[in-house]
Amino acid sequence: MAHRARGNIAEEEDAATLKLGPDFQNAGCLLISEVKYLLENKDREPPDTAVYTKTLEYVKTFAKFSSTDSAGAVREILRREAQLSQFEIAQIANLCPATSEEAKSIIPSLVKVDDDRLQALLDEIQIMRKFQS
Amino acid sequence: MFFIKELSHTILLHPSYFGPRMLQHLETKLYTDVEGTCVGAFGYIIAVVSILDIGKGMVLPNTGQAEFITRYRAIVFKPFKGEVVDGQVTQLSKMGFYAECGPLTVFVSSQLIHPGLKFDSNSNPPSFASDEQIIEKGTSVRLKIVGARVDATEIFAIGTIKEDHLGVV
Repeated sequence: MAHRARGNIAEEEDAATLKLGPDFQNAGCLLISEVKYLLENKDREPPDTAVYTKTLEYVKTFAKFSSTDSAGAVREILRREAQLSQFEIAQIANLCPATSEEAKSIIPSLVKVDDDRLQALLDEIQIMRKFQS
Repeated sequence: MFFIKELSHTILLHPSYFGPRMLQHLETKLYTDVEGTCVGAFGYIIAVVSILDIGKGMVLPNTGQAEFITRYRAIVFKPFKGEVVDGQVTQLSKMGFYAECGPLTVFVSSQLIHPGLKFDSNSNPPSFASDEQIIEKGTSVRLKIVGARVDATEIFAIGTIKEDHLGVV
């Protein structure tokens, strides 16, 4: 019985419809670039765990923005679109889709955003990526 | 998806540690206890960012140990069904391949790989290949998580690349 109740909760979570469960619905999402910055600038010895090393390697490979300035600027760009949730902002910045069609395909909850406005945001992010030092 | 999240952890401290270096000891104990672990509801706890409150330290009857309920902020990683993530291929077989997305390992079954990509066991290293694309060890792929089983200590996820805009990046 208890096991079944837990299964139901897991069933309710679905990123496509932005259902993240009670614990994460309002939690702050981090961009991969921000995680990289946080892990690389710790004021104490890095923990010696497999999870930590794997994550550090992963964020180094997949961070799209090299500096905190450019990551912050991307957040600023995406914050202008009031309809976007934390989760969607992080997904757009992590995956950097080039077209609004691609963005809506990999982040289905973006259907609510107008194509032209989304495209303008994505173009701006692409330009940011191109010119970051 | 990576999150920054406020969590709490209970530390039982033996009376032999009560003394001048107790706070330091509590901090290291918190780090070693929680970092790198996987909690069912919160996913992988990667690193503690800051300690918000180390706790009052109530001495428990009978044992004499002190109980500290610490609150801290940590970077956690939790995968969601329907989420698209990038990952790196680590292992291939004719059944499919495994990709690593940070601490999480995702299995992509050959059923969920585009039929155009065929497993080639004679190639070195082994790969899934079509005319335009090749997936071998170390390739970066974009995949969608279709299901995740959350255990007490580990998360297993199944992914697909058989949709538009997924596959080799």
